[in-house]
Amino acid sequence: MKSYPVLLHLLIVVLIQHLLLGCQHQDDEIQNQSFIVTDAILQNFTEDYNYINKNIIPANSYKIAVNLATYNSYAQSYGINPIQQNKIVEISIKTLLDLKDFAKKGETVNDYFLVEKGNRRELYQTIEAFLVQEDGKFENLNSGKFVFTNQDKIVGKYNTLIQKNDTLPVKFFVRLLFDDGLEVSDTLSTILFSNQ
Amino acid sequence: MKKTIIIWTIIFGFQFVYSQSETDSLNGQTQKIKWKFLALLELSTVDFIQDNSNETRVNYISDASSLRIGGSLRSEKIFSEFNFGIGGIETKIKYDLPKNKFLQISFKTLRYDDLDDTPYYDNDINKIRFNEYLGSFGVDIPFKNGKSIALNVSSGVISSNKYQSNEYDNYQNKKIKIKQSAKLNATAIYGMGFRYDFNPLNLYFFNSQLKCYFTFTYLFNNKSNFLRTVEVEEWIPDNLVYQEKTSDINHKIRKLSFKLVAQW
Repeated sequence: MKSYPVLLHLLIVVLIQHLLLGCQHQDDEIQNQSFIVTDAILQNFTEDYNYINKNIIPANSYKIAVNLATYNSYAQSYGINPIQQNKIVEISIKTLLDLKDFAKKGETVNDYFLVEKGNRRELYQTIEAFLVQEDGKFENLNSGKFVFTNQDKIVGKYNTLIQKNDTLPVKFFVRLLFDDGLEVSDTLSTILFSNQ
Repeated sequence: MKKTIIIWTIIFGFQFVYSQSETDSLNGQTQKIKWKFLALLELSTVDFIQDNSNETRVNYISDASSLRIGGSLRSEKIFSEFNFGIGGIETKIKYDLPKNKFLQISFKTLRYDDLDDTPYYDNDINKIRFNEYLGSFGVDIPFKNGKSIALNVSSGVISSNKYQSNEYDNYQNKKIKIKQSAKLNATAIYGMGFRYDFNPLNLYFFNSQLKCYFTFTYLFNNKSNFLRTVEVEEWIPDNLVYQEKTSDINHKIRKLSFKLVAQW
């Protein structure tokens, strides 16, 4: 009978330990500063409040919003120095409809879009420059945008795609490829018009 | 900036040693060197005036205010002052001639940086640099109650550099960045100054150590050597859509400055 208290103690310790571990199991994944992008949602976007949530958007304010998702949203939202572990290595925007004479169905139209990295007031990047110089990372999960320029060229003399009093239905297939093999794609369609 | 500080420290040091040796040579009649601390506020502006046939346009080139502290040193004939602080640095040596006349040289640089780098807002840049080298000749007119005024004529060289960069956008997608710079190359300038010395606390405290003076300087030249540039970038960096360079050598410049100094 001498060993009885010892066994009881052991039992209690083991029980408490299991209880503690049981409560703790949610916290096993330590949320640290690095995060991995696991998904992305692509949406039609405009800052012209008259056309928000409508299927018709002025061509000079049309953007494609990139909302990235991660399991560790704490790092991105509250982290002091969040580190995105995977980066975008390839962006391709294809048109699924003819863009007048500028691009035929199925062609890549990356040239008509620029990248807005974040909410800061600074100039855009071309898609190539974003992938090379900016390392394929946006400033925030929800701050990335592909900006439609409505011009067939940025540098030098250009032609306007959608001219005054013009309307054009568009359908873009957007594909993002991350360096860890994650591939996200979506088809976006809307009607662009020019109100200028 | 470092270089200027070094040069001025040497000048001030030289002045200090020089005034020391002056006292030694007096041999017996120990002339006291008086040290004083000082604090000052300076408001200064440089304007660039375009006189067209029917209108006068004033472009402000530099507009800097500065709050500084420093020290002054007084020996029998030489008064020197050195001050530094927020927005500027200055040194000045005044040599007393007979009959209340004086000669003075001064070197001054003012700087103003507005580097707003707040995320979600903007990253506009506004930088101003301003240098002045001035020699003056003047006369002190003392009054009985410790007050005095001084009048002087000055001439020298000023140069200034202003750089501004702003980015604009609106609800439309297009973004532009405007870079403007105005450089005033070393330009001769001349004018006059006024100085008023007073003891503000003498009314309340007997033998107060606090002494104040203010100076007002007006300098001008009908010719200047400006180089102004404007660059506009569109959509992406380095996509220059507009560029203009002008070299304005026949416009007036005007420099005004006001300085309030307290010494104790």
